[in-house]
Amino acid sequence: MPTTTAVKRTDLLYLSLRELGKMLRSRDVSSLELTELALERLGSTGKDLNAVALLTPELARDQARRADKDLARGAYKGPLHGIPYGAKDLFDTAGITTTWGAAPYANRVPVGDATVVRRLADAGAVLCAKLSMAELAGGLGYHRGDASLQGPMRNPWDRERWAGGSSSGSGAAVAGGLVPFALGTETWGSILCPANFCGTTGLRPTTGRVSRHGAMALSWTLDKIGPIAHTTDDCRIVLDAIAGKDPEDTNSVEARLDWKGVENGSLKGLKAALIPANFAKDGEPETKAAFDQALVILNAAGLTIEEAKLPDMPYESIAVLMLQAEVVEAFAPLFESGDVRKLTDERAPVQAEVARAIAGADYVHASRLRLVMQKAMNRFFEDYDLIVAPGFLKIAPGVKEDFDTYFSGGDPVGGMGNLCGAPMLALPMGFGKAHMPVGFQLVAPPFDEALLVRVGAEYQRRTRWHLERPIA
Amino acid sequence: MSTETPKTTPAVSRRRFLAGVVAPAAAAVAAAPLAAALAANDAAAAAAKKAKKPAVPPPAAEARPLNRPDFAVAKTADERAALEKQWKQMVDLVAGLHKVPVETGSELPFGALMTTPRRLRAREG
Repeated sequence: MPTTTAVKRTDLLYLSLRELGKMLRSRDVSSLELTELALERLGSTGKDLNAVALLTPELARDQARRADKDLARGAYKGPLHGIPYGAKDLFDTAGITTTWGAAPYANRVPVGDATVVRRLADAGAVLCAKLSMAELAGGLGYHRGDASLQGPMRNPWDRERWAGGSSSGSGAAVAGGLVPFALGTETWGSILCPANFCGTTGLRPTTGRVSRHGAMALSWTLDKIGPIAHTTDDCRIVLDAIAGKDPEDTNSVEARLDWKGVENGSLKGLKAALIPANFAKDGEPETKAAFDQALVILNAAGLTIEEAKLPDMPYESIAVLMLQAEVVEAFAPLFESGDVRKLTDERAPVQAEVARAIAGADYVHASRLRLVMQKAMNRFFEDYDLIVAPGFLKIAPGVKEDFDTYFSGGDPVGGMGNLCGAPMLALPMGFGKAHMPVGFQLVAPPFDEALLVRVGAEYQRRTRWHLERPIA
Repeated sequence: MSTETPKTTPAVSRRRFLAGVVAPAAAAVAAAPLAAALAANDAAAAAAKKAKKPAVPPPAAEARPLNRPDFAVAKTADERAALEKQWKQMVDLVAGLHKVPVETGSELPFGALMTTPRRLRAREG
């Protein structure tokens, strides 16, 4: 077990949640010490990375002191007790500015806490900062890594490169060792993308698994909330704390998280569908080599991997149409007021006008196609336990690079996974060009996060990519 | 989700917004079945005249969005070009979606997104 004498102070926030928990319980470190360290790093490195929207020092110190007092009197709340974290700046925090990463909402102060913020407080976690994000979580599309109220969202591995998005600050803060875990959201790629580009682990749970009450609405049928952390096990711990039915969110469901068998150690008997990507056309050879190596490791762990093709459906078109149509309703006041022109991305007003012109009948048609697609995927998952696919085929682009020219080809499973509301896990798989992190993703049937954790944890037992860190 | 109304002062009321966007769309939707019915009647009459000829199925209706953006929103030539380009992309996207068959009578999903598949054989053993 590490102790403060064995672990350099600056390394503490790179430890796993269980390691930090042991240190807290044995009084090798206090919650207040961890919190001060996180506040210090968020205030310095975090500001340099534009990862921080707002520090919350008063709240953090108050929560940390309470955590220490509770520990002293033996009232241990669980593995998040006393652990500092950051939350994407779209989760409501009572009396604390929550900007949604966008200029029109720069002075927005909510009156209550989002359910996830409250649940983490109940679990003893310490909120140290609201973390930066792409404006409106990319709801009106964004084309560069600087489309945020907080400025260019920089990657700790190379500050001239993008951290990924839209949960940019969440990915950067974990990778940079500013907090041990962070909360993000995903409508389409916003947890997995920063996790992969920053070399961290991201878990996007099943739709409805986590209450969205008090989180900015972007797309009611696609939005999901999940953790970004150093390890798969860390993500599991956070998910355990935030999941569950919430009367404030009618779409949330009560579905038990069953972790039985997660520590099995072997993946024998599991069959994965490998969804190939066109690296020759859209990717980089270094990324392909890293992905091939990840497949070798999974296979050595006992996972049967079989190349497969997803049912032939227009996944991305369905997702684009539904997302844009829902955005029109989610941000109606922004369009009506003309404040859409205050957004950083100069293409937002155009994007908004196109979205406003989508016909209701076409939205309904896309919704029906979505169900056809979901049924096809149900049949697909009867042949396979899970799906494995690369994440982005290239390393992170520059912060000012135009995504439209940088990225070609789509994410092979992103549209499908989000339309199904299926859980996905992003895992680091080494380094691509310019020693930038690259990653891959796993998709499981809805409500089978335990399977993702089982496979992800076994992969991370056999690799050390999740332990790599950028030079401070 | 947050139901709070953001602190922005609408320059255009929601009613006016709805009147400007939704009403024309609704009118177009309402008009479409009538136009289709009239066209169908014409086709039926023409078909009756040529009763001896083998029936030829009518071509599939060209799917197209019923609305269109307000191009006056574009303040510069670049914005106008971007709007036209993006709208064309959206029209093509919608047309593509309408080419994918949806069985008549298949439902509109509402509520749970996807049922949990039956337990997988690998973990049943």
